[in-house]
Amino acid sequence: MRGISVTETAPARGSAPMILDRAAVAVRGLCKRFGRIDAVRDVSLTIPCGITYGLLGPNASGKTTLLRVLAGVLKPDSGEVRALGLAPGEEMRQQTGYMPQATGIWDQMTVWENMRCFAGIQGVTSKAQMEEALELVGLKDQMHRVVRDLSIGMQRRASLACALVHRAPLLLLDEPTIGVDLAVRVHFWEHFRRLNEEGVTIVLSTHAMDEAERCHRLGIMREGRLLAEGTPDELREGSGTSSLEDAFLHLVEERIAPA
Amino acid sequence: MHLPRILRVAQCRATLIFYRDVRALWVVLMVPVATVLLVGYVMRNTTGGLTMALVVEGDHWATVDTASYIEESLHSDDIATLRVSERGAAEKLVRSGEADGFVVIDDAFARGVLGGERQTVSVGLKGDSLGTDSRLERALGHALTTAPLEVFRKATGAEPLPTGGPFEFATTYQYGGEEYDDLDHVFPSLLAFVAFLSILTITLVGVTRARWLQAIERLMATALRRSEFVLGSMLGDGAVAVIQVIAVLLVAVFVLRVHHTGNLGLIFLLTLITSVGALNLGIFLSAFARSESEAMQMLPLVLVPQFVLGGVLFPLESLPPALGVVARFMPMTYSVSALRDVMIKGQGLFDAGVISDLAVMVAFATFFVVLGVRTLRREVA
Repeated sequence: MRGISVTETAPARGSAPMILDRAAVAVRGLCKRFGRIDAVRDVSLTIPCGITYGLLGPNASGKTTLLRVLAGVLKPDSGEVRALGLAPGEEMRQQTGYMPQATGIWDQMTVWENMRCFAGIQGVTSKAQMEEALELVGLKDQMHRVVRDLSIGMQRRASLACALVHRAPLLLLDEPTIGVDLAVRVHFWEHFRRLNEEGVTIVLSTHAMDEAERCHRLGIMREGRLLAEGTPDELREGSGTSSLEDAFLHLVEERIAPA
Repeated sequence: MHLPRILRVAQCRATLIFYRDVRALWVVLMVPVATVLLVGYVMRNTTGGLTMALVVEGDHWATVDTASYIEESLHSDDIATLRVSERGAAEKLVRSGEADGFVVIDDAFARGVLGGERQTVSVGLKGDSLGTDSRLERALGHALTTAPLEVFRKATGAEPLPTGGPFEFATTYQYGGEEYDDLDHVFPSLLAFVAFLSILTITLVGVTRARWLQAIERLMATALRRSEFVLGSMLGDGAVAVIQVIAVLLVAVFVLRVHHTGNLGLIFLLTLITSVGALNLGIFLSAFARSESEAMQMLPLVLVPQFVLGGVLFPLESLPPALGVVARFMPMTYSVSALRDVMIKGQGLFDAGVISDLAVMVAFATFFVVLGVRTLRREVA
């Protein structure tokens, strides 16, 4: 419901096609360069509301850069970006929850102190809402522990809680499950499903094929380009392989050989 | 501008330093307090340890008396003496390290004193330490202005001739006063430098760490504005600076009993603004460091020029003109100058020197805030 209500508040502009405003994420011809490295090259992508979208790709394929652009942290060199119908800016950032790839929280403070800081900055004042976010990631009973004393998986959970706390309709999660144990990962994905049902859109990057399998749609990236896009089934069929892993390797390696 | 968000950032910075980062608290409280205490103690107690050899050549009564008077005067300046009968022996003592210098008193000198003539005295100094040499020279200068006078009086029963003879100084001080010792004169610059150094270190390193952890990246992905982040960090670290300045001033006033003629509140204000300028500089510089170790490497680059040219090590007036121009672009210059004006000259807020220095300090602090906001902008859409 939350996600939908926000797309409705975004006025449909006359010139832009409807799909751009209705989609959770709409990207046209996005390019981002760092010095001489083209991190993202001419990516166009539309992600409908209420699904989990997985970004797959080898290291340095541009997944993180794409997420950072969507989070409003990086400015694209060219191309158009809309998240929930909003152009990058303060209002768009208010509607997104971003979980960076690194720790993303202060490791010398406790989980609770971090939560209080990020929740407060994102306009959440209710203590119950903060505790709820910690409960969702299973950290409520550990919330007074200092972050760097926690395992990497628990640190990821704390970071995720800080991205969830303000109940944004669009979540941008950069490898959210790295180092997270299997039980908690299953728990994460159950929660992602529930959020999807509420209308929340999740865009995440991952290297795990079982997680990719759970995404509604996938985008496979390499060297800054979006090579293929579709549901896991579509990707398997398109590459004529029986497993997603083979499809992924097929796609990524096929394009490495000069066409 | 959204005040609650600014306060959240401030709370976060203050929580980190006060509760969570023990080393930061050490740097911000113990380093300045310990530095001031140590420097204060050393400057007030650099007494023993120096030895002067007296070469007494001859047996004229005036020679013997002059030597005794000099000995007495050196002892009163806490310098030990050794008597030898020839120059060679004294040189050997200096080379072996048993003495730090020598002075030759012979019959010719003593007769000259009795005749009221201007004299040349042979003095040998070790020459390997500026501090030692100048202390010995000062003590000898003192001894040699008084000892011949005593001998002359004893010999003639009359006061020395008004010209040609040695003089006693009757000095009055425009500022400070006779009770102002070395520490009192050094303290304003020490205070400014220590306040600058410690808060710059923790802000620069702390903000760089937050950047490295991508906590700042996450903040930049929220509705938080860049200016809100910089102002919040300034408030949080500024609160730490307030505690720091209070601690240092308490130690200075109640433990070291540093003399100050100016208003203590004004001294506090000037030191605090020095710290705020430094921490704003730290936030700005953190944009150029990718890790804490890179941040640490920046510190000497920023601190050494200000230490050398900012009036801490050498008085500003003694700088070569070209470097004097460079010094004008350093915040330290204005902090040291304002604190000296207040603490030693007893000037008030509205004296021309103080108010203009304060204006420049505030301008620097504001300038660094603007730079800090602008360098955050580079990264953010």
